[in-house]
Amino acid sequence: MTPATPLRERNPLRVAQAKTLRWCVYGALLLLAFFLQSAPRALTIGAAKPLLLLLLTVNIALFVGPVGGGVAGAGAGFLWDLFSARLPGFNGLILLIVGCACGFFARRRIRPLAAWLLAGAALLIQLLLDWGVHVWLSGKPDPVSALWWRYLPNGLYSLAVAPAVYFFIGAVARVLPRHDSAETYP
Amino acid sequence: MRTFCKSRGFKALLCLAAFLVGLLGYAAATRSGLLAGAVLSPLQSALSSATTGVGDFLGGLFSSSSALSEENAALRKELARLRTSQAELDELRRQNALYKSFLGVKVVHPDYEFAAARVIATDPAEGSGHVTVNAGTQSGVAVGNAVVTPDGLVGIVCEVGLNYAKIRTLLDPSLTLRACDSRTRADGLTGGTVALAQRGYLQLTRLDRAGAVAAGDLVLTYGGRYPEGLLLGEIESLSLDSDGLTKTALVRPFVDVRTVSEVLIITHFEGVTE
Repeated sequence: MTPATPLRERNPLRVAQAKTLRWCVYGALLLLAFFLQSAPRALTIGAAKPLLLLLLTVNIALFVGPVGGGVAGAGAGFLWDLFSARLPGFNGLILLIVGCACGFFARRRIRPLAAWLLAGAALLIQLLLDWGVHVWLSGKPDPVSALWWRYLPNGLYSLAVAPAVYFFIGAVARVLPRHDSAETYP
Repeated sequence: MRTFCKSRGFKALLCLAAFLVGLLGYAAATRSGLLAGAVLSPLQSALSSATTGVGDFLGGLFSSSSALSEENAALRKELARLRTSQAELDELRRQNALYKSFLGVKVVHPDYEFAAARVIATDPAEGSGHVTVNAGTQSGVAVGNAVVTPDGLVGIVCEVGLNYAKIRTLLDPSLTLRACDSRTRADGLTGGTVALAQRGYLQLTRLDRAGAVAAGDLVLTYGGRYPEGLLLGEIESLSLDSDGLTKTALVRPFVDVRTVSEVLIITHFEGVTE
């Protein structure tokens, strides 16, 4: 993925406006993804649902850098936990780390395949951590079946829609006003 | 990396992480819902009604081809009918029928106090084992309340917020309820496996081997913390456990948790025991 070429704005007010607009758009997208991910029967194939919040976190992080990615991840995870069977904060912490890690690739030229592999790695981490903590360590019955019937379909479905999310976020980032996209560290 | 670790942004992220850890600890200690959930619940409720309609439509598209042609003809008739009727009237009719059936439950069990609710969210990681509904402490809902439809039990409230409640359904293999056979009163515990839950089934375990439980018998709640005599499902088959002392029954629930949209939460009943 090629981050928007930094176009240095000399007017700090315009930079602030551009940043605010960008985060309003990303926030709205995260909210929409949350509603779609948790709404009954929305985007459902069989028993599988795409983990849109995670995919959005990965792809937003590729444009905004580690700090922005971490914040977007924490927000996405917090929303995810609201109506899930997990304790609030669980997915928030995982997505914060995932977003922060993916953000380090923001200044590199990430190609679609690499972004897809990154999304796959993020999915693997989230699903294995969730399964490990909430199924395996919790002593729930039939942990292998849970992995096979619940986590794997969700993961594969998410992986299938990951390119669409990548191109969509790419298009949104191109439409938004440009400024120094990935953070510099003071 | 070293520059990043010294940056203000990194420190802000650490603060955010500490906040989330604190939230985890608080939620683990209290099991109470968050204010943010109460704010987003009405929005989610509105969206879920829209997506349920779209889901029904798309579900029809993915059915088998022979069924599709039949469905196509039926849909054409339906379309002609819809042209002449108002969508709002249909919705009112549907709700009227639903509340009449709910009223039937109320007539049979006059001591029950209900809160009506609609399913607004599911959890991808839990499949049909967990749903969220749009009624909470405001409507008198509390943790441990039984959730039903006129067909039978749906699940048990496991967490409650101001205007939403999270429910563990019968298809959650870790939900254990004491239940009994309606004919012989032989009792056992509900449970199952994820594979069975995917097919929409659960198990009634630890049934006495010598008991006369048979396929076709109805399974009811036993009582105690939950109202007695709530319908769970019908026994389809029985098998002897490996210990040779107990039997396990395969139960088909009367309520299809995967498609249920309107529910009643029993907030109070006579003979409730803590």
